[in-house]
Amino acid sequence: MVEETDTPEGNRETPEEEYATPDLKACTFSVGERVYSVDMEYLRGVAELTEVVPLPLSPSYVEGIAPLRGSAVPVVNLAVLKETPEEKASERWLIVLEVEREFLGIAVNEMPDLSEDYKGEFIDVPEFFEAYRVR
Amino acid sequence: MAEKGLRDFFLAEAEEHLVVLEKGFLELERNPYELAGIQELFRAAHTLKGSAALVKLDTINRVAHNLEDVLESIRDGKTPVTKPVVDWLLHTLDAIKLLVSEITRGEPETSEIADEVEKGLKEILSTEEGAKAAVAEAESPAKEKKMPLPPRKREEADVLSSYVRVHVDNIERMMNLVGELTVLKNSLMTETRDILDLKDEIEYAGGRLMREISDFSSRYSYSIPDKITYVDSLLEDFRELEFDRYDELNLFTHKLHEIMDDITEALKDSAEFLARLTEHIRTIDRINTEMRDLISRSRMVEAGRLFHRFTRTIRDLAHRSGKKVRFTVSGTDTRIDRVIFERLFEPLLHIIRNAISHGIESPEERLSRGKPREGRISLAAKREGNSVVIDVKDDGRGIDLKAVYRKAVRRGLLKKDERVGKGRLLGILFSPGFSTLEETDMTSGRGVGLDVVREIITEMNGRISVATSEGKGTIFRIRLPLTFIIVNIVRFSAGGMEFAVPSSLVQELMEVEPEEYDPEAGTVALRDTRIEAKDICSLLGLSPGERGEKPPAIVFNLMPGKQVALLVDAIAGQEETVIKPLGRFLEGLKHYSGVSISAGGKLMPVLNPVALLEQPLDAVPPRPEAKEVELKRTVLIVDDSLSIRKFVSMILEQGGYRVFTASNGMEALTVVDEHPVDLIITDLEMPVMHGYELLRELQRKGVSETVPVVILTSRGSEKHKEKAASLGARKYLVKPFEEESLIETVRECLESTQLT
Repeated sequence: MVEETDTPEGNRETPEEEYATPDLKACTFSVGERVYSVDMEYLRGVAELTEVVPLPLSPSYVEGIAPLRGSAVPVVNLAVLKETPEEKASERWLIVLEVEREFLGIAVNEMPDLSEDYKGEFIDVPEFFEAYRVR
Repeated sequence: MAEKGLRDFFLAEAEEHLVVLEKGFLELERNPYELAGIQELFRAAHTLKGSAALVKLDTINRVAHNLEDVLESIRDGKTPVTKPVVDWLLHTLDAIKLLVSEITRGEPETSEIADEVEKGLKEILSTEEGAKAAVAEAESPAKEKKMPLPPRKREEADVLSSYVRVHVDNIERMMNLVGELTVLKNSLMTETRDILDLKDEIEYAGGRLMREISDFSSRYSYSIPDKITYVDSLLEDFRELEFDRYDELNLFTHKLHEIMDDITEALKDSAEFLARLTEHIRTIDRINTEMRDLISRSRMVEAGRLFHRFTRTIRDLAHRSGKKVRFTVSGTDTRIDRVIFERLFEPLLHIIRNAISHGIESPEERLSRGKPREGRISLAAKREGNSVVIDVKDDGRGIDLKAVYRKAVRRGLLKKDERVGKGRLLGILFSPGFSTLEETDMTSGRGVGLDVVREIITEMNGRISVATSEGKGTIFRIRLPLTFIIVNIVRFSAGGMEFAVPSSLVQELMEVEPEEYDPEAGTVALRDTRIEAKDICSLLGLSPGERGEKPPAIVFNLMPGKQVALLVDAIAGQEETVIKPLGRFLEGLKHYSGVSISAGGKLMPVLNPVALLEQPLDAVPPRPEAKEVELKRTVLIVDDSLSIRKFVSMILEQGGYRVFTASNGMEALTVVDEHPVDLIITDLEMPVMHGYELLRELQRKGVSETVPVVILTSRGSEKHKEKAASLGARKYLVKPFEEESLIETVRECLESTQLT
């Protein structure tokens, strides 16, 4: 015979309820003194960028590929692409974006911010992917 | 959902039956009196009918039922095999294919197809006297309606006892897992090797410690004369004890010895453990390899199934072009990877189309040239080591090399009067945009050229070559790896980077004797011939790393008789690895076939030697932005305030301008020197070099004559305005300013410069 009892889970408050999360829709970051925003929808994560393997003969804005969970992600350097000054940094991050199951990384020097508004130049990720993919 | 699953099952099965039926019908057409195979055809139609009924595909069921009846009637000698009957059979087969493709796309069946099939059947039967019986049967399908299920179930039970159908995706997933295991195994192997090295180091350090202890204690004992006789062997402690001569040092060295013995013992254990581990890893390796072979074998498909798909196409194409073609196949039991199987269809089809429309001559022409009326096209598959070789051969007129030459010159692929060999000319056939077709016709030249054929094959790490002989025919030879998920690669370094190439494309490795390498001509001696030689570093624009006296080179056999040596810095080894594609963003980089992820998770680009060595490399993809840059006008913003720079940048970028920024006059001058600028917006008060100085400098350089300068300042007095104007400023804006007025001013200034 099974007795219905209060399960401990039943009494526990779910942590999500404690914080009202703001409606974060943009991931903003700066590269080469310029601010950019992308839609959160395409953001798949931010990873520490330790090693980039260059691919000789690729366009200059393709810095190379970086390992990510047993796979390789293309790394785009926006400073080169937009011809803004490049800054050296001791640590770098990779903003990993996904468009139709294809990945794309943007290298940044500082951790990006999540915010409720778009700031700076807005990057339409699918459009960007199409415009700059190597043909 | 359940029905959907069943339908997938049906679709997989239907394909097999359709292949059997097609092959059989064509055979029937060739030999109308040879009815030995008819029972097999009847059974195929019967099973197809039954399975269709099972998954409630009524139209296929109806059509297959008609087919079954006619075949039964043929089998029982009631219906003779005539041309209209064979045509009807083939037509009905097409109808089923059409229905199957509808199901595959998830669309409902078009039931009118069955009506049409039945109409056609009535027509042929009405013209044939002895076939009345078949009509009666064909017209009363209801009679047998409940029949298909019981026999079908029996058949299935027999088959299921030894076979299970598996979706290709599952095999694919298993293969990927095996791939990951391979990577993991490689990393385990590397790690054990590291531990073994570490163990050796500890052993060596232990030995040194022992020596130090012995040296030290013997030196010490020498200083105490009485001990000389005993201390030679430290194990004689007991006697020392007995003779009451032990001291603290003795005790200490003794302890050290004991500890060292323990360490040695532990090391011995760990060495045994490592030996066992290595053994186990080897076993894993063996099992993994076996598993991979088994899985890849289960996703292998007999080449014959691919070849038979062309039987019909060739028949139709030949018919349409008024040519007689005999199609033969060989090596049909050669097994090829399913993925390759699927992707090979298009390229083969293209080559076959070409062979029929350009290769094979008309029957009259053939007779006049002393050839048999019927042209021949053959498909042959065979396995050679780790690769599959597929030959497409025709006995037509061969490739007109003169026409190829003329066309290549016209297309700018060759210079006028340039002398080229046969090999090079044949290579040009595969160049993008080249097609020997003068005009496109129905059968070929549908926008896909041999360049696409080659691209598809190169993507699979394969290569294609062609040999032709005027008046005698042409052979296309395709060589592909057996499977291309796990690939054996040769690793090498160049310019401080590591790269890999698939071993299947490597003919041999060689050492380049300096006196036998001619960098000017780009050749090197290989045994008794000279072959083309290229340096990987100059191909990729890298600066070569340190090289030994005889740098290594990898020799590729790109086409029969065409070998190319690739000079590299050093060969690092060979290993099995998983090659992952670079993905869509980078797929345009044709000289890479993917990336290998090595034991330590390190990425290594895998080069595609075919693309790298054969295509002109000045085809480096241009920046897609280039065009855009020309169109966009460029504005330079000079202001010491970051927020003003950002704000103005934002407004202008949204307005479609390209923007450069500088925080003072000095920086601005640098930008102007390095980039073409269409307009300058500058503040007046700035550190280092203020606005007036900048204006003066721009005037001196003659820049402000062509490039308008706009002042954007908080100083609004007439005095400043006049001074700025005297120094060549075109416009004057006072902060705070309106977005519109800024945009308006910029546009006006740029328009006025466009006019001049």
